[in-house]
Amino acid sequence: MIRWILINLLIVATVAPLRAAQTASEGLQVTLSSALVKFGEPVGIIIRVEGDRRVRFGPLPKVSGLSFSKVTQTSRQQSVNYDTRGRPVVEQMTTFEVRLQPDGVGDYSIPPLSIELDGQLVKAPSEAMSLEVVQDISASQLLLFEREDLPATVYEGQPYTLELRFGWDVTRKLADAELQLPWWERQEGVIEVTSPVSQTGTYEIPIRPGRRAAAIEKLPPVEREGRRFDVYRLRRRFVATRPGTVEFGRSLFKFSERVGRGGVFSRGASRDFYAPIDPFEIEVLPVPEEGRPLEWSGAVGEIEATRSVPRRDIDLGDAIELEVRWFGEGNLEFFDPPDLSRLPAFDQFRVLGVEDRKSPDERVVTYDLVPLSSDVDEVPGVPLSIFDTGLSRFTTTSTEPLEIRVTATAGADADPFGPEEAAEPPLVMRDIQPREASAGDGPRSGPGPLLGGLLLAVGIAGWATLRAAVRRRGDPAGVRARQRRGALGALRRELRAAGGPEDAAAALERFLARRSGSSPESWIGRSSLAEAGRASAELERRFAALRGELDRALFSGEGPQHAGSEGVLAFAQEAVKEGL
Amino acid sequence: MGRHLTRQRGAAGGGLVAAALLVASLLLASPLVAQDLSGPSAAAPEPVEIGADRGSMLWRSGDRDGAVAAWAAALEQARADGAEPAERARLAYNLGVSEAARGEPMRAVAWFEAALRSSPRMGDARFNLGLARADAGLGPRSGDGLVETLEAIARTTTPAEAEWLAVLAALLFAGVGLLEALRGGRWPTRLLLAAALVQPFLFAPLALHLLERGSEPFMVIDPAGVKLRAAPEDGAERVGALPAGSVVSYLDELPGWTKVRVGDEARWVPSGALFGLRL
Repeated sequence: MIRWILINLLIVATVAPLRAAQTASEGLQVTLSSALVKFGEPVGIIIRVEGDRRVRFGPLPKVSGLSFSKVTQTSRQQSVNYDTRGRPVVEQMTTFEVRLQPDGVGDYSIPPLSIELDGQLVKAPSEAMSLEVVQDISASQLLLFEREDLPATVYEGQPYTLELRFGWDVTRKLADAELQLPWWERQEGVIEVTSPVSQTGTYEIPIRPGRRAAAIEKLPPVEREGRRFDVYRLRRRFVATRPGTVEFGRSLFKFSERVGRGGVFSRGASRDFYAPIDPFEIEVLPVPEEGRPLEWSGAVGEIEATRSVPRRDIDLGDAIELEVRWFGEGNLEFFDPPDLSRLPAFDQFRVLGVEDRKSPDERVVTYDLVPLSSDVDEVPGVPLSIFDTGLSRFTTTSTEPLEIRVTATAGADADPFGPEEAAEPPLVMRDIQPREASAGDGPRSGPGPLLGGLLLAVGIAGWATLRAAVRRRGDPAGVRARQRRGALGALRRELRAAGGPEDAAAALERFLARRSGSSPESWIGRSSLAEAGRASAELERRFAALRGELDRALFSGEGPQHAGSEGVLAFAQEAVKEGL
Repeated sequence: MGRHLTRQRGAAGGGLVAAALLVASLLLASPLVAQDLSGPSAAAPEPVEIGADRGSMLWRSGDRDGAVAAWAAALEQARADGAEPAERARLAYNLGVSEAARGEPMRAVAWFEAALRSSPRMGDARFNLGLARADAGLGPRSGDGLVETLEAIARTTTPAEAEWLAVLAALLFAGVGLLEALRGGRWPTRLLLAAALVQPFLFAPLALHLLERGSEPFMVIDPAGVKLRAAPEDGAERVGALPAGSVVSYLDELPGWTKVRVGDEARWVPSGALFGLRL
């Protein structure tokens, strides 16, 4: 009995994971887009997943001679169907793709992919996928794709020209064409120099990866094995800037032939052909250190030099335009021209200016030279140190000396530029700072980043509230408000100018009028402050006493000139304090 | 007499104690001085001031490497102690001078930049930064445009100063607002308008410091610049490049790689090409 139970448990333990994996792999389909492809033809692994499931991919397998791209999701479809009861059933299908790039023809076995579906790892398909890549035999007859031989080795800085020629049988109708150059614009340490200009007109062809267009030129048709081909040429000039190997991976020329007639909105059927060029490489050698002259400024190649001047008979102080032209097969755009002001042979000249013009075919540098003496009778040769790639050693090319005549004019026998000006002293970096040298650098801690904003917010709110409250009582900038505010000051001024009790009384009336917003006349003879608003009994009493005092002084004609002024001012200050 | 004798005895005892202390201090002082010149002990970290002074002494005596080591250690200690920003800036400045003397202009640029970020009005650091940038083939620190100029002005304040400046700006507005609310009239209104207009300028330094508060600025010090990668590996997709002298914000790091913010994107760059500017 126990044995029977153990056997059953063993069966369950064995079958259960298989069953789970089987369930997980349901709705998963992994296939090749095509098991047999022509070399160059696009091919990939298509992964289709049904339903809304979480998909993760494990590391892609490694197959010799086969490159895998990253997994990309190519589509996601969703459809709604209705079952027999009319209930909607949502179906989803997500498609992924891994593009494959074979290195050459042959049979490739691709192991199953590791895919995690909703957290469960499955291997799919159940068996390895077989991919057969065959040579496109038709293409070898219908297409032409070849390259001009390149040197196996170049020196860093030495330019080389890459030339690819491609074409197709003239009887074939072109639908599309492209070059697949995996190394295009991706070679490190290589820069393109200006390429020779085509004399026969230029066309453009897309180049993968990226399908960026590149200029090509059409060549005359050629005959090969009884077939006539339209031929085009892609030519570029490069310079390797560092030693190493410049690799050119397998290049492909894809030609799409139109085999059907297209309509207004369709291009018609086409058939693709692929022609390859095997990988090749160039070894870039370093320019040797041994024997390198100090004056070598980067010139590499087989370079020659000529010189010319427009005028050879000049007056002292005039400039000679010495034009030096370097040409040949070399890095004409990349070396520094000689600095004549540093050459002892040019001690008798002042270099006023240098104009440097670069082109793929030549380098032209024009020096403006001024002879410093009428004794100068020739322009010395201009040397350029070159690493000669033909000889594999450093050489110097120099222009021929040029005879000139310098005529001294009156008073111009001396140096036309006068004594050399002292050069400005160079800027020198400031020294280290010992601890004692520096003072404090402002406050170390602030009030916090919020306080400023908080105060500003409170300020704005307070301003708005206060402003509204004040405006409810009237315009503070109005005439009456300003008169009320300025009443005490005006009273002081008037009292200072007052000639007697009469003026003091009039000033008091005007003060009360300004404070109460009434007319001064309405305060004549009045001994109560009731019209000016609420006033304390004490203020009322003082006002009555003040009026009495003023009246007495006024009508009796007694008292000093300024009688009552102090009392008026004291009363006014008290009244303002009370808010009268 | 007895009291006198006792006092004499006491004085003699004090003299003995003083002599003992003197001898002990001399015995202890010699190794201490030697230790100062040879470097901090492993047991206790050297105080920042002593490390900085020792670096200066070594620099003056011609021991450049020793000076750099002393200043670097002092800077570490200053960070740990939370020392004054001016103190940290001075150490960074000295390290910048030493890097410039060693022919490392990009590292010198980074040290001077770090010093200025800690002590924005350090004139010597600003001067040397200009020279180091020129040596490294970099352009001026800030552009000539209005925004760059305003930003450069805003950067001349420390965070604390920026906070005080914001408080002053708010008080200015409140004061002028009080005047305008109570008096009204043309001039108070104009003053209020002017006070409102200067607020953005007075708050700008604070805003700038707040924006940069959480970020860790790093400078690209590889003279050739760096390539930005989508993932922390050499073969990962290249998604751009940064020239030398660019400043980016630190996000994360893995061994050999640092994740930085470039614009709104997170990118990976080799850690060796970056230099932390926060002291």
